Amino acid sequence: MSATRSLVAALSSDLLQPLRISDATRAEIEKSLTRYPNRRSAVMPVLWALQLEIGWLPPAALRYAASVVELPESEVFGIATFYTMFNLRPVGRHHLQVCMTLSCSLMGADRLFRHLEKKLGIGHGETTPDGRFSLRRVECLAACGGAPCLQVNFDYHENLDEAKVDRLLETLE
Amino acid sequence: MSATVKVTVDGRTIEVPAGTLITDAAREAEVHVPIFCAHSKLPPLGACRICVVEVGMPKLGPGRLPVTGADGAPEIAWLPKVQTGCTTTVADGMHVRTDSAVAVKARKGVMEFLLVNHPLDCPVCDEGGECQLQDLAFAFGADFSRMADAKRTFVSEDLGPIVKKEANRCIVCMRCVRYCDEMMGDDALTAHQRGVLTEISSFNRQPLECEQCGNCIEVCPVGALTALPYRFKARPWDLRQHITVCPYCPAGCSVRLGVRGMEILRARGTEFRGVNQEYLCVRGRFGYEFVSSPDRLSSPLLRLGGSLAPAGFDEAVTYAAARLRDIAAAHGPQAIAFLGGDKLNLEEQYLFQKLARGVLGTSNVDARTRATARLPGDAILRATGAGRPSLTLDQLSRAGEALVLGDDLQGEAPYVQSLLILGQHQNGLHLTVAHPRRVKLARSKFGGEWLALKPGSELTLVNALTAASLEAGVPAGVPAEVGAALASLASALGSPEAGARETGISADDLRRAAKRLCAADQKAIVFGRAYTEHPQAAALVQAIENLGWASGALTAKRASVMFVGPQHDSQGALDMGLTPDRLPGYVDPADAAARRPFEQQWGAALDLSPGLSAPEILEAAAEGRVKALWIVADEWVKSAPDRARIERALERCELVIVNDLFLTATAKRAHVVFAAASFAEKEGVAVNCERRLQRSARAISPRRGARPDGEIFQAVARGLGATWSYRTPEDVFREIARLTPGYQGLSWAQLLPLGPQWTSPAPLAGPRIAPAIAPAAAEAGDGLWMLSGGTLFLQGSLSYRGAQLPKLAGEARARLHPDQAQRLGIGDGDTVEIAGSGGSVTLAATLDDAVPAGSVFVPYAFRECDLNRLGAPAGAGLRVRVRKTAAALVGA
Amino acid sequence: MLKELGQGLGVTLGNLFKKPFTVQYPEEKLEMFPRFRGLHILTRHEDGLERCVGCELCAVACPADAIFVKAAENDPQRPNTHGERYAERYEINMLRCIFCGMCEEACPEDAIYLEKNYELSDYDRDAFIYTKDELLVGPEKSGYLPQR
Repeated sequence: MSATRSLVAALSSDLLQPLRISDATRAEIEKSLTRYPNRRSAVMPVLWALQLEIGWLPPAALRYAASVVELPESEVFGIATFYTMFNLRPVGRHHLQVCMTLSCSLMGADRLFRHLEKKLGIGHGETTPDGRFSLRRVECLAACGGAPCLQVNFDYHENLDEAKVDRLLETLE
Repeated sequence: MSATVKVTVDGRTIEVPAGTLITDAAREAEVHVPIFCAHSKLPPLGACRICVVEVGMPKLGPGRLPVTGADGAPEIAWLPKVQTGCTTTVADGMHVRTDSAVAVKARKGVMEFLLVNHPLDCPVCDEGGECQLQDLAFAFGADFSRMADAKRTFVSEDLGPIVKKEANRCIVCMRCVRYCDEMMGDDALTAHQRGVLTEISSFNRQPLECEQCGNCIEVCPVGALTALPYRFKARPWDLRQHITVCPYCPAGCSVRLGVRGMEILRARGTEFRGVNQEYLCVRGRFGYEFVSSPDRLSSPLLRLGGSLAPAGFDEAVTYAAARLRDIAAAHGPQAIAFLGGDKLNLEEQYLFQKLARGVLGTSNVDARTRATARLPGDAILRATGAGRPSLTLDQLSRAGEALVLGDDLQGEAPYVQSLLILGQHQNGLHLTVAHPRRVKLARSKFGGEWLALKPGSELTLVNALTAASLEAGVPAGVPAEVGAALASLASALGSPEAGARETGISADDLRRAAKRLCAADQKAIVFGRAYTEHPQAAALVQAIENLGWASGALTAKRASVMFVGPQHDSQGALDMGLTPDRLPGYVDPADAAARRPFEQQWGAALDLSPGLSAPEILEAAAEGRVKALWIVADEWVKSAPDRARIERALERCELVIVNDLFLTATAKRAHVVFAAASFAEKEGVAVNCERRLQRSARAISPRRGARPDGEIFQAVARGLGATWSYRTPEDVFREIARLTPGYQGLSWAQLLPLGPQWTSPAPLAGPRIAPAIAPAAAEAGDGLWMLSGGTLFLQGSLSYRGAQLPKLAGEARARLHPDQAQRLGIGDGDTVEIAGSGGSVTLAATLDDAVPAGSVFVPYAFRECDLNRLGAPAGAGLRVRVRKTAAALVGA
Repeated sequence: MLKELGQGLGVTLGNLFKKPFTVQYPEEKLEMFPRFRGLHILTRHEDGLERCVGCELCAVACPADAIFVKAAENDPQRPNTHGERYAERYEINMLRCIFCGMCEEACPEDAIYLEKNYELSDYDRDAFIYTKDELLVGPEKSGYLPQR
């Protein structure tokens, strides 16, 4: 499976290279640390800043975040797995995130997801070999009014059905 | 609110302290409320919901008066919904129902939810048969499942060499995660994902980087976490369970040995029992393996014609007794010395010194084989308050301030370390750790103060803390003569500034630490082998006594100075007079009235000379003044401070008798070797670091050919003409309890399940406050400071006889600060040679920034690494030269 | 009197020509009923792997304490059973066994059955401790389960 291969490649490169973070991200992290009464509260903004920079959260980034916010590494890992917005493996150019929580689920998110799986030939948490799409089930996107909702990178697409999704995919290069 | 409240559980009215949880109140009322996630050592969580009960308060009518029903009983307003018993505290007049239709239905519902995804693999699960979920499914669960869908599944994982995880069985009670966090301070486990997909695992699913204590396995109420070493070894109903006392550190944890046939298959803790309850450290949990080692001695050995050959017990006893008698006759009893005994039971320690003093007439008895300098026999007693009540370990975790002097508790007493971590998390305990290395307790996450003293400045540090304590004046409540002595001590010590220079800790930090210690209401000073085995031990222990008085730790009501000894019964060895200058109960042999009961009981006139301590015996034996040695349960070749000297001593002695389980390097040089029984094969009493007496139980019968040490002593004593006739350890204990101050009035029967802590209403020794000055000795020289200490995975020569502990410990490493290593041109993994005045050892180096620059750290418990080859420490420690070497790693 | 004698001899004579109930054991052997409880067998799956997983429920169910089981973990390369564990040692002391069939009832894997073999005599007490290789059926009987 290519997703596995890229994951292995990413992990080994992660082990080989030290974590490089731009000064802007460092500044962002510093700023978020001052926003709360204690450092541990800044764990979410710190992880988010790191993900914006790297695209996903390699173990080295999680270790770095743990040292910055003074939380146990295991706990930071737990937090990163809890929230579906954090990627623990590299994702493609277009990250398709299908909301599976109640409203969307009732409005056919499951059908939508199966359709995407079939169409793209990948499952949950996987990336197409060309690196164009990643597919993921996520928790509530707070767009219950427009269920079922699909988030592509940072954009919401609401009130979807199979045909609309197909048209949408064509626009994504 | 009153201190106690009345609460009625299922019709039983009981009175419990306010703030008690419903589950605890129910236990008090002997009503069973099932529990998964709640744990006595953990704060309430309410994750599993199985403890749901119906709760109500008396109905209030007009004027807020209770409404009574037709039968005169108050009418109860039941809450509309069930409550979790483990998170709800009781209120006065509260009624709780666990057996009402509502409660039973709710519990059944919870049970059904818990079983939705739980696999039906009980027959192949190691927890099956002692699983709480299984028990409760029998008691409260339905006998069918309404779930038609497939269960969610996870892949099972090995989380390191100890923990096997089968996440399918997990009910996400979070006990393991919380225990690892609250009690161990390791934070190795966490919950991944969310909702039904929640899974317990480690960071990035890596092998756990933790103490490998296996407590996560212990607290797991189901079979989600099981022990790899015990995997599929037996089912619970195969095992005979024996609760005894762990043979390793002085915390004195109760271990529950699971025995099948003649083999110990596992060790566990027991909730609500022992000082430790469920807790066990890695040594306690996996260190029993030496008992069933095939290398155990199976008969006594006698040196005949140059080599050791198996002999009958009677033959060995006759030979040993005859040789001892000959040597005593030819050279006087002072030519005989008795060594070791820290690892024996109290009764055996008593018999050992009785044999020396009462039968042979020598005072050369010392258990502290590793000591490098003589320490007065009552020094530790006086430093710990001369028999004043000691804090219990539980109280220690509730102290406001704990000062840990010199010991790395992770290696010396892991349970004490865990209690301090628990106290820091739950009870607001503040830690001050004085240690040159950044040991676990000194990590910033425990919020304490790390006094990172320069190696060799231990005495200066304790003196400076005393000086800083006395700046605020003499504490209230000290006796008048102590007050006067403290006042003059204060002027002798000067200001903390002088100490600050030498220790490298700022005077402000010293003052703050002293102030916190003095100000705390409930406090403890903990010290151990790092100071008692220090070349300046006598001065250091005196300095600790000074600090104890100056800080109020020896006078305040809920305060203690605690001695955490090197072995599980080190305290007993001190109590039983395994010191050259004190009889059992710290009786000074020079005191004619005090020693008379012993002389009468033993029917002998005592040797009134001060006797030789272990380092002096070593010297005397090497010089040929001591002709006969009896070494008990000690690998003296490794533990003696100077390798060259111990080799010479064993060579020159005409008679060396060794009691051991294995043919150790010491035993190989002996003339008589007695095969001894292990801790699991004999009964007896051990005294832990809170001075608590606990009876250990015999779990299996002794290995064929091996005998308990007490029997060996008795046989030899009878061979020497004594008329000892102890049938059981109880007989010996009765004699101890009759003779020994501090033990008087204790009876064998009261030592189970948890014995009392011995105390003495009248101090067993008067306070002595004196300036603690290091003896003018040879300077340590230059070079790196050789730091050594206990390590978590190994302790003593028995620990590396099993399979698990040596595997976990890995190979011995010399730890160096990265900067130091860079200066020396040493990289991680390089082979280095450490050279001292006496010789050198070669081992691999590891870079570790917890070790201060200017020093090298090697733990001493490793089998392949004999640190005493470096030579004896002098002055304030041992200094060595470290260089990179191309030579292959040479073991020992 | 002769009449009575004749009647008596008549019964004898009559029986002389009846088909005898006894069989010429050991040349001739009786076929046991399907639910007869004789010597135990340990069965195999269709693919030849052992059914017994070493859970010891038979041992705990045994009222005569005749069964000893010691489990071990499978080598994943060469598994003995389908699961993770198998019985490394499986022993039944036939001098203790009372042939009650409780082990069979307790077994969650259909691994143990009491079969029709009743010829359990020997010259040596130790020989009555039947080990796993004596109890386990041969690979040619893979998938065989007695009719119950």
